[in-house]
Amino acid sequence: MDSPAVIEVTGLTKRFGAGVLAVDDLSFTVRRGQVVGLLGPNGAGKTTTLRALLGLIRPTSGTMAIFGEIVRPGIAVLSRVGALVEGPGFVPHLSGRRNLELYWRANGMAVSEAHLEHCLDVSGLGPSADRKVKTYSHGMRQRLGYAQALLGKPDLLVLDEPVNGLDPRQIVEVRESLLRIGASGTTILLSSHLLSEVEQTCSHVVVVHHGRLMQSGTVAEVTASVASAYLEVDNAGGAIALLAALPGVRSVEPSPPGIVVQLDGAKRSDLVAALVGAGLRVDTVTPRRSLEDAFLELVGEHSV
Amino acid sequence: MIAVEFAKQVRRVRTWVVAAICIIIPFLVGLGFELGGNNNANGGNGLNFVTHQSGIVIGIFALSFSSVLLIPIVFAIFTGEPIASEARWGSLRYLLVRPVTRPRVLGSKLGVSIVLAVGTTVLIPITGTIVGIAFFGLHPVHTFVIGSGSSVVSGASVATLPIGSALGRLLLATAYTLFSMLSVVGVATLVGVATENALAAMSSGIGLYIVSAILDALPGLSRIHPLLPVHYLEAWTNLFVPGGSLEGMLHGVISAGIWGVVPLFLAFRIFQRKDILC
Repeated sequence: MDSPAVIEVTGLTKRFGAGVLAVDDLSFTVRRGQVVGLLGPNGAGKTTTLRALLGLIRPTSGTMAIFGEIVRPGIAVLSRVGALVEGPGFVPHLSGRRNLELYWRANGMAVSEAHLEHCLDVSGLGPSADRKVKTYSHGMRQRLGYAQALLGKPDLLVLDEPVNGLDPRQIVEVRESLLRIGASGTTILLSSHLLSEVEQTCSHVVVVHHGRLMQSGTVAEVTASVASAYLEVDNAGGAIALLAALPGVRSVEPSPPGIVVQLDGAKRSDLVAALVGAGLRVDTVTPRRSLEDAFLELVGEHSV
Repeated sequence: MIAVEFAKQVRRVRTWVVAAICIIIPFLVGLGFELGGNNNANGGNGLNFVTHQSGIVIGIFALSFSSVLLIPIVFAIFTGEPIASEARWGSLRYLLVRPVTRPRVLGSKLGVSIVLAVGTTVLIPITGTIVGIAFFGLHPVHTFVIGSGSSVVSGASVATLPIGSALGRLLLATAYTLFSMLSVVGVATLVGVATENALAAMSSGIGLYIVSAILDALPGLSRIHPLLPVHYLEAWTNLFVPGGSLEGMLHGVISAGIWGVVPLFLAFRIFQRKDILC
């Protein structure tokens, strides 16, 4: 049985002004306990989708529901959501700690329910939490923004590029924190243009490009749906001409020192047989099934 | 929500700078009269007093001098900025992803801004009166109508307001002046919400005053004068003119009410529907 839907996006479309179509008929579902990556290049409509989901912008058409409630500005169910949208934002003349307190108290919640000290620990700011935010570096603000999203142990976390601007060590810390939170049953929707990030953190992925849904499913499903092979042969030019004409091959491109073949039915063994049959020498054959490949192929189909 | 907003705004340097200015200005007014030595003062708007007779006069003049520019500027600063500042800091979206309705967010910000604007500008007549009393003592206020005698010596139409009455009238005049600022509050809030630009919001609040003051001074436009938000701004001076009519103040309250309520209504409406992109 599927666990209950936490987020249901149905036919979400957002057009800004008369022209730009930021999100185009996007639908996806996030179920309880899933850690879902919203993956797409910059400008794919990820942030617009998250903003709409939190009631910050009105969709041109389509509906969104969180915990079964239709999203409108300031709905009560937002008390169960922690969010980081398009970077952190704080009142500069107050301390990090004070900012989190005021954020939490804005709807009349007692600070004692916020788990403030725990969240500040996660931020790793230490004594800097008592300094004014305007003295913070970009990375410190980002970590404070992450900590703010965790206040009150929300049932759903919506995070827009959570590791943006962090150094490698901090990225690892946030990733481990996300894995811990996800393992404890919290539902997480995070957006990223970093494929490796999604692959390492998420159970599911929703791929978007130009505001449209490209594919969704478990990380394994999405990567498996796209088969490709990397080959090194003694005559790359000849191999490209030969393989491109082969049935079950979608495309062949040079990727020095070898070539990359996108498969559409053909098996890697078919490629090797064809090459050897034509008298070419095959040095290396490797499957390419990373999310990055899947992503590039999905995006590539529509980038023309 | 209101407590949260108060905590944010009170700590701002801006709040304290404005409060300091509102204390310094009436101090300078008092000093000016003390050094000036002239016994009579003419506020240029029908106000004529024997200054050295009573300190309360300094409070009245401080209010008169400030009502044209300083007080509108303070109101424009406080009410034009809150939404725009949060937008600039990027914290507006985090206010609005809380389960709090947008009218409540805007209402709290507006309420706190008005309280701070009133709280600082009210220092002007208060400080003026205190400074005046220090210089000239607390005495009944003598006022006279110009034309029937430009010096006290001619004396014919000098009216005397007892201390209690004079202080009461100053209080009423202050309340009237601050209420008149609803037009600035309305326009600055509307522009602040619509543009998310603090400078645009503040300057449109002040600009409204400057432009309508210019229009109000053009005799050819006398037909539209009653519609301008500054037209009745100094109607309170009749409180200190013997036999002065208070009809202007009544019109002023209505005018400020309309100039305040209409843009505020639009501001709330725009904010409710706005896409928060900052």
